[in-house]
Amino acid sequence: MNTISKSISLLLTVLSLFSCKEEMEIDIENGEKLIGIYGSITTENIRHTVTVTRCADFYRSGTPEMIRNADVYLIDNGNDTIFYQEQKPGIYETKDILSGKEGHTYTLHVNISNDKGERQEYTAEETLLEATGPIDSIAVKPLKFNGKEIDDMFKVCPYLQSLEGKETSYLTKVAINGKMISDTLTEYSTFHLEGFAGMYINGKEMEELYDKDDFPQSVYNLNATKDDEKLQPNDLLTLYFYHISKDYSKYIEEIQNSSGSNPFFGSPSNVSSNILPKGRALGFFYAASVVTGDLRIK
Amino acid sequence: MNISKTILFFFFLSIYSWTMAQNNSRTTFSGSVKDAESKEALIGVSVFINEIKGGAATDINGKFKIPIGNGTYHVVISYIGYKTIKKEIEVKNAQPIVLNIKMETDNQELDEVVVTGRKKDANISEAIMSAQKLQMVTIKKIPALMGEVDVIKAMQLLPGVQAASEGSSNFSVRGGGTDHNLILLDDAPIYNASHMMGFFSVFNNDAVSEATLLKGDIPAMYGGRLSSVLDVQTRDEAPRKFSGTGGIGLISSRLMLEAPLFNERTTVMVAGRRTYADIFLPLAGDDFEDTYLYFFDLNAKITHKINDNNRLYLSAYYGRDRFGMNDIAGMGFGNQSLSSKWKHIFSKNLYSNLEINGTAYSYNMEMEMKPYGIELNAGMKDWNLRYDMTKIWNSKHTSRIGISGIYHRFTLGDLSNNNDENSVQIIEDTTLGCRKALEYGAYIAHEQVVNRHLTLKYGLRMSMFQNIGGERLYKFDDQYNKVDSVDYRSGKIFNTEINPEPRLGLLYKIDKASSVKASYSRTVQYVQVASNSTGGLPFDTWIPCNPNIKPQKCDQWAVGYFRNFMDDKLEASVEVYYKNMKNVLDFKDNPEFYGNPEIDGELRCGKGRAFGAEFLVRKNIGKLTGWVSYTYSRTYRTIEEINFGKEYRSPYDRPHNLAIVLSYDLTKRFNISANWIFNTGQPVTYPHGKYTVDNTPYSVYSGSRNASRYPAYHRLDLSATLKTKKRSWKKWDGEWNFSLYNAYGHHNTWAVIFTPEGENMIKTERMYLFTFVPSISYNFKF
Repeated sequence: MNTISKSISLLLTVLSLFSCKEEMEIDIENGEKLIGIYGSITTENIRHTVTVTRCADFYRSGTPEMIRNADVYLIDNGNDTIFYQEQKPGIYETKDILSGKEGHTYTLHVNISNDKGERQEYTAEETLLEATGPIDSIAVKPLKFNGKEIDDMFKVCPYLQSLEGKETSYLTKVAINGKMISDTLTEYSTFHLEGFAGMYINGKEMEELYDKDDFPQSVYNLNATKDDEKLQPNDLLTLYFYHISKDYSKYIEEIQNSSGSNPFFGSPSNVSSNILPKGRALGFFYAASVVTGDLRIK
Repeated sequence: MNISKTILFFFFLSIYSWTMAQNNSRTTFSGSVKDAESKEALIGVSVFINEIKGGAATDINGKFKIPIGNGTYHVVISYIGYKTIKKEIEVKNAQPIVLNIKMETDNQELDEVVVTGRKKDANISEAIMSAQKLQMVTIKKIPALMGEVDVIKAMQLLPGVQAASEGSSNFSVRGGGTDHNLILLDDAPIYNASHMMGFFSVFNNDAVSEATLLKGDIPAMYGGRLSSVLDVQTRDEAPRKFSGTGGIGLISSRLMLEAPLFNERTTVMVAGRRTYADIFLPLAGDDFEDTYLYFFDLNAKITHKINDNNRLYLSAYYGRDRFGMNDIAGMGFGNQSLSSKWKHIFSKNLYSNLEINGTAYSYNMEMEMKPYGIELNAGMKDWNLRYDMTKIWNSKHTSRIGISGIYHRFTLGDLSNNNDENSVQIIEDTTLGCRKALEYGAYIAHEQVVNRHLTLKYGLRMSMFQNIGGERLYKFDDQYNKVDSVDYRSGKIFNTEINPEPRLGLLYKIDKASSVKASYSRTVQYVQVASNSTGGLPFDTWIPCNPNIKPQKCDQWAVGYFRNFMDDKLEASVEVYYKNMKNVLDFKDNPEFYGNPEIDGELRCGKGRAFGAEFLVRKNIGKLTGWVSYTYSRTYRTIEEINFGKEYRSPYDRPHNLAIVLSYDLTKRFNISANWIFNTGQPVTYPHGKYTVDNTPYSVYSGSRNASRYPAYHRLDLSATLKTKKRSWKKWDGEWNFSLYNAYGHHNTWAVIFTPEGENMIKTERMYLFTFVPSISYNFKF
């Protein structure tokens, strides 16, 4: 029930008005440095990657420890094997440029040697879901709240046919002039269309339902106070519209909401993962279909 | 009959003969005590005979009876708020003495003291331990956050009681959970005693007469919670005329009015309170212009004396919090209760109480994001019937029996679209269903004064809990995977739990000023909060036990030594306790408890233990009053699926807990008060590393729970109260209260926030709520 989670966040926001923050150091607990595996296969025709790292010390800066010499491969629908090769330390790419197929189930296998030289296998499985209709066009407009424009905030509004299914999960990312501005997971935007599922997004049917000020609807907001999100004439904005699994959507939301400990929530724990064996590794392997659309800024 | 048996026979015969001979020269000193003006019987008046260093307290009829022999005695009759009476009596030829006394109120004391039925040496002489009673006059002197004195905040300063978090009205007693406390308002249970995220409790201090917290040694008449009973009674003292009290503070105002009616046979009290914190919200920015954030509550009570043997009480409470923004989103939550009581006196030694009460807690949320809107409603209701009888057999034996029945109805959540026909039905209208249950109790308890040193009490409560059909029950395998579900037809009893709950107590009075007490109690809890928030949230929904959730049980042993000094002006005590808990609940990692119909599968069940030592020195009378309390306590849980099955700290494991609460009357008009609190930091789960995904580092936890701690919590609060000058022509008394919360501005950690920062770093910040909170309020009475 997202309503309650959002309400708790709202309560925290109000409470933050009466509170102050200051940096502090904490005593880090002891624990096993788990393996982290993160990768994907999408309908994009590219070399798909899997990153294998080891969880780092909490206060350590810089890049995490990359795990070398892992055997990484993907089983496509229980039949074909797609092999990965180590491109950089800890970063594995498919040998060939390829695209995932809608409806196919992909099983990732990662074999790693531990300190004793024993091999440990980690697996994860996802089914690549069908794509939405193509993005027919995109509009960028000032973002409004309660009828008033919000300074330096713009909304990215696509026009495309959505899928049926109220709980269908979507993920959007934006690139400007080929550079991905959604370059951290906290900048990913995930949502469900719920009651609008199956409608043409920002089509006539939706227009009749919304107030003029709130239409067209946004799937990604740009903050022009950030240098890389500022749009200039002639810039090329590219919107990536993914259809993702409910589990991956939950994974992103858990990371975006993992803020620490407070009396409103219980004891914090690890973000969920679909890497098996359960509790032995972190990360996620996802399969997603994606459609893209471009807008040249005038 | 052999020789040894013969000797034994004559030995007992001689003892018996000696005892009978003693009794032949003995008689009784008895009588009654009434209020001189209202003619009301006064309960609990101390009738003390200097020569025998003992006496009695008046019973529910205001009567007393003391066995004495021939001789001259000096009797002292005292009662808080009344002028002490001293009498000399002479007993000749074992003739009984009867004395009917009318006590006059002590106006000077009454300005400051709320009358209670507590004996001066109650902590020594009463056969109950682990009980703390606070009068409003004491509570009102304690410096408070934003000047709003509060019953629960005052209780949190007592040994064995801990606030769940900074400013919270939730509390843990002797290592129990915050839902292990039975909170009663005029005998009606209150399921969420918080306003405004806990910064205020639901108890309006103007309406409250007194509050008693039972931390252990819980009498058999109470059941349903593991750790404590907080019994809050609103005012029902008969005022002589229309009168009132109230206060105007920075964020709230309140008013209480009471009046006698129908020849003073009926008393009416109404009280209300409303906050206006939201008027300051626009200062936080334009975004908060149309934000509302307030609470209000109303108390009403009618007491009617039908005759000397029958009295009726009717009490009602309604409170609601409202919070929302721009008509876009809003939420509301609150309690309602209605309780009625008929106190009937069959004879001077037999009386009864019949209670019927209902209570409800509900919360709702609305979100209006045109073209859609959704609404969520959840809560619970109880209907409670209770009948208790007390029989005083003689001065040495008192029995109590009673029965109770509660009908519980838990609405776990109904989520719906709004009813506007132009709206998009964004969600499926869903209901998490309604769980219904019956909870019964029957008890018998007896208190036996064995001799002038030893008093025993023993009792047994039998409790029964039944789930009533009309719900879908999910079944889970050993791995908590859902494997099946059963739809129970409405009204069908599908699960029954029966548990005996023995209660034992012992008082050994060493002398007039000291005693030793011991107790054992078993308590069973059948309903619990389905949330893992330690601080408490408005959305905390209660759920009953069922075939998936076993009743929680607690065995508590306690021993205490109590010693009074300076003619009972100074009380000191030390109590040690050990609690063994079964079927305690916690949640698995990443639980989904909001909107989850399969919430039973998110719970994990295990055992717990708690132990500690509580030290208290308290001074109730004089210019300097207050107490110093120190508690050393530990509390742990062991649940197979949490913390790798190893024992871990409960969120309320805070070993060192010190509170110094002092109040000093500099003059008759000017009082200063201070309290200083020190607690070991709250247990917390900190990460042991981090993992980076798409340039976003996030915290990684080892699976250990509550292995670290926040820094220690401490703060100093100060207050000064200046009463306006008394004038004979003035019908209005006022006082100004200035208070400073957290006077030295210590940054007490309320939360720890982890935020991703450049170069795969995570910034760690502490969030603290209050530093230097000054406030001013004006209180009045007429």
